[in-house]
Order: sequence, then C-alpha cells, then structure tokens
Amino acid sequence: MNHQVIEEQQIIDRYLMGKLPEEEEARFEEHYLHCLDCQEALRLGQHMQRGFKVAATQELEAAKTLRQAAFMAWLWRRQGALGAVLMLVLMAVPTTLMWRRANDLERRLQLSEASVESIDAPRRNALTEAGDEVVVGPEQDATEDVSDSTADLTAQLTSQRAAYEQRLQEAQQRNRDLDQALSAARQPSGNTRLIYLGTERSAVSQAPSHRLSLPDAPTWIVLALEVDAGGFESFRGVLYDADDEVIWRGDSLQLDIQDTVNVSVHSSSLKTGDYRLELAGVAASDAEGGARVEAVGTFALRVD
Amino acid sequence: MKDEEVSEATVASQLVERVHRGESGAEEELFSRYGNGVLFMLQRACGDPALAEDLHQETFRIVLTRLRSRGLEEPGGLSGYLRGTARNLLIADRRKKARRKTEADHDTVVAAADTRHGQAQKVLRREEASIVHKLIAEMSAERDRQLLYRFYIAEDDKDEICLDLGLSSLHFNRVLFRARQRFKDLWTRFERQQKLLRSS
Repeated sequence: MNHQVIEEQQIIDRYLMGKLPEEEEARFEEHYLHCLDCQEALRLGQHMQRGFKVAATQELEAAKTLRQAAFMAWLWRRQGALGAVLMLVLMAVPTTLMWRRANDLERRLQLSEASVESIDAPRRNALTEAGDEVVVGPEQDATEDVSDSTADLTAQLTSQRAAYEQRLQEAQQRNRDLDQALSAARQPSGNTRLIYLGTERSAVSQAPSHRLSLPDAPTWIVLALEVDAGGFESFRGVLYDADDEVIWRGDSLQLDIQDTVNVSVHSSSLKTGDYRLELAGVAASDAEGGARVEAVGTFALRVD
Repeated sequence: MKDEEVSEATVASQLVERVHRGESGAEEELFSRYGNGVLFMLQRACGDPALAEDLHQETFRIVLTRLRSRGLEEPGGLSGYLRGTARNLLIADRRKKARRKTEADHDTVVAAADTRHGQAQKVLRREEASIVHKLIAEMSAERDRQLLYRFYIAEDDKDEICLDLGLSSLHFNRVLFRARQRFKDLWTRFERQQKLLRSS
C-alpha cells in the first residue's frame, strides 16, 4: 500500500468511517503502524470528521430555530386569511381550554354556596330582625338556658372549691400543730407530775381524795396506781370522765417493782372535772383456755 | 512488491535480527517506530484510551519476548505480527469481560471521569467544529460544500456523490485534498496556540 493509492482511494477517511473491507483494513493498518505521515493524516482525519459532525449538529439546531422564526415571520407577512385563521386556531385552543376551566370552577363555586346556604338557613331564620327589636327564637332560648345553667354550675363549683380549700388549710394547720406537739412531746422534759392514786372505796358517791391542777404548759402526768393485789399476769384499765365517757382504755398493764401500775396521761386531754380509773386484773388462763378477769379497784382524781 | 513495502520489510527484518541478537538500542528503536501506530490502532478499535494503553504495553512485552527468544519466521512481516498480537489481545480482553459480565455502568463511569479531561475534550470538539465552519465558509462553490457534507456527514460513497453532483473523480479528490490541507493548517495553528497557552 502506497501513499498515492491511499490518497486516491480516500483510504484514511474510509478507514476512519469503518468502510474499508477487512483485508484492505488489515493492509492499511500494517502500513500505518510504521508510517508517521499516515499516522498524522489519521489524527487530522479524526479531528476533521468529528468537526464536521459537530458542525452539522450545530447547524441543524440553528436551522431548526431559524425555520420556526421564519414560519412565524411568514405568517405575519402574509396577513392573509390563511395566516389569520392559523393564528386564530392557535390562539383559540388555549383560550377554549381556559374558558372551560373557568366554567367548571364557577359551577363548583355555586354548588359550594348552595351547600353552605342549606346548612346556615335554619340558623339565620332563628334571628329575624323587626326594626330595632330582636325576636328570639326557641334555639336561642335553649342556648341561653344552657348558658345560665353553665354559669350556675360554675358558681357552685367555685364556692365548693373555696370551701374545700378552706378545709384543706385548716387541716394543714392542724397537722402543723400536731407536728409541733408531737415534736415537743418527743423532747425530754422535766417536772413531770407523778400522782400516786390509791383505790377509792366508794369513788362514785364521794368526792375524789386526789386532786390535780392542770399545768399552764401541756405536759405528761403519770398516774401511779397503787395496787394491792397479786397473782395477776397483767391488768386492764379504763379511764372515765365525769360523764362516764371512756377517755382511755389500756390492756397488758404490768406492775412495776413498787407494785404500782403506771398510766401516763397528757394534760391536754384532761379538763376540769372528776375522773375515775377502773382497774381489773387478768389471771392466767384456766383449764378451758379462758382468761379470768377480776376487778382490782377504782381510782379517782379531780382535776381543777 | 512496491518500493515502500520492500523498504519496510528490510527495516523490519533488520530490527528483528538486532533485537534477537540483543543489540543495544534495538528494542527502543522498534518501540519508537511502531509504538504510536499500534496505540492509535488499539484506541480506534476499543474506544477506551486506558485499555488501549494497557494492551499497547502488553503487545510490546509479548513481541519483544518472542523476538529475544526465537525471532520471527518472517521478520519482514513485523508490522503484521504486531498488529495480530494487538488484535488478539483485544479479542481476548473482550472475551474475558464477556465471561465476567462486569461491565461498568456507563453513567457511573462518566460521572467518575476526570472533569479536567472532559473540559479539554470539549475545547477540542468546539475547535474542530469551528475549523469546519471556517472551511465551509471559505468554499466558494456550493457544489464543493455539498460534496464535503455528503462525504463526511452522510458518509455517502465517492461514486454516488460524483454521480449526483456531476463531478469527476479527479475533482472529488482535489476538493477533499484542499479541504484536508486547509483543515491541517488551521488545526496546526490551533495546536500551536494551545502549546503557547500551556507553556505560559
């Protein structure tokens, strides 16, 4: 393969286009592998072919735009019936579509308004104006009744709430007082009153022989009940006031080494008047399992 | 056999012999003489510059190994041997990829491609088109413009174009030759400008 043949038969261009027969292509490739001129021509040929294709694409796009513009210009130039009709058709299509859309929206609006009317009509009928006077319908009466009831209920609830809050505050105050009293009671204290009480022979009929003056400050008072009875496992005591009301009741009371049963009473639980304490001894269980209780004595005290 | 072919066969035979003898510089000379041609052929055949480069290297590795050990039965056909080796490697690569079925997604490859390379390609494409526009603009005869469009864009055959446009084969060749020469001038000028820009 020589360069004259390559030039005359456009071998390079045809090779790049892939239009050479297989045998011719092989011969040309074997040639250009060592031919610098052909390699350069091939390189240029590639650029040129690509250039033509890109240029053609660009011109096509430009021509397309140009044709569109030319068509519009032709229409304007013509000023004739065909152009006018075409323009009218082109304009009529979107206009018709928009007109139909507007009609559809108008129809939907009317339907919506009719629905709203059907819902609001009874309500509007209830309020009909006659001059300056407003005629109140049954619906509004019911509304006002409900409003009144609601107001009454609210007032009641407010009142109840105030009462509960008052009671709560009182309870809280009492709790605080109790806490203080308890706290004070838990504190060690001196000058505890100790009153020895002997049994009264007839506590009911006679005035108590033992007297107690209530202290200014609340304090514990120990009533030491002198018991002259043995053989009991424990004792039970009941404290009554002057009205025979039970003030206190205690079980499992034990004798101390001085043969007394000691009962502590807080001064705040006492008031002026006569008190009596009845003591009973509890013996060991009998053969049948029952406990034997036997009165030991009555102790009396007058509080001044 | 024409003179050019005789000359090539002689040069190739001598080169093969020198490489086989292990003569200093023979392998470099062989690579310098055939390297660009083999690379162009592979690039055109596979369309992947990176793959073409790999196959190009592998082709010369195989050929030089062969020449060092045994030489060639027809040393004058070195071009054919190089071409055959390169083609066989390309075919083997395609078969291997077909078996693996691991072709990369085209969009992903494009997205992952070096954008600088893409920009350079765009500049080249724009310049190619610009030069073609100049060529066409410089042509006085509408018929010659038609000839170029039909040959390079429609890729019509020479005989068909000549028949349609009423041209002789000689006129056809002359128009193409002039167009190529003009393109070559303009393209050389562009490449020179690019070199100047890069150097500055």
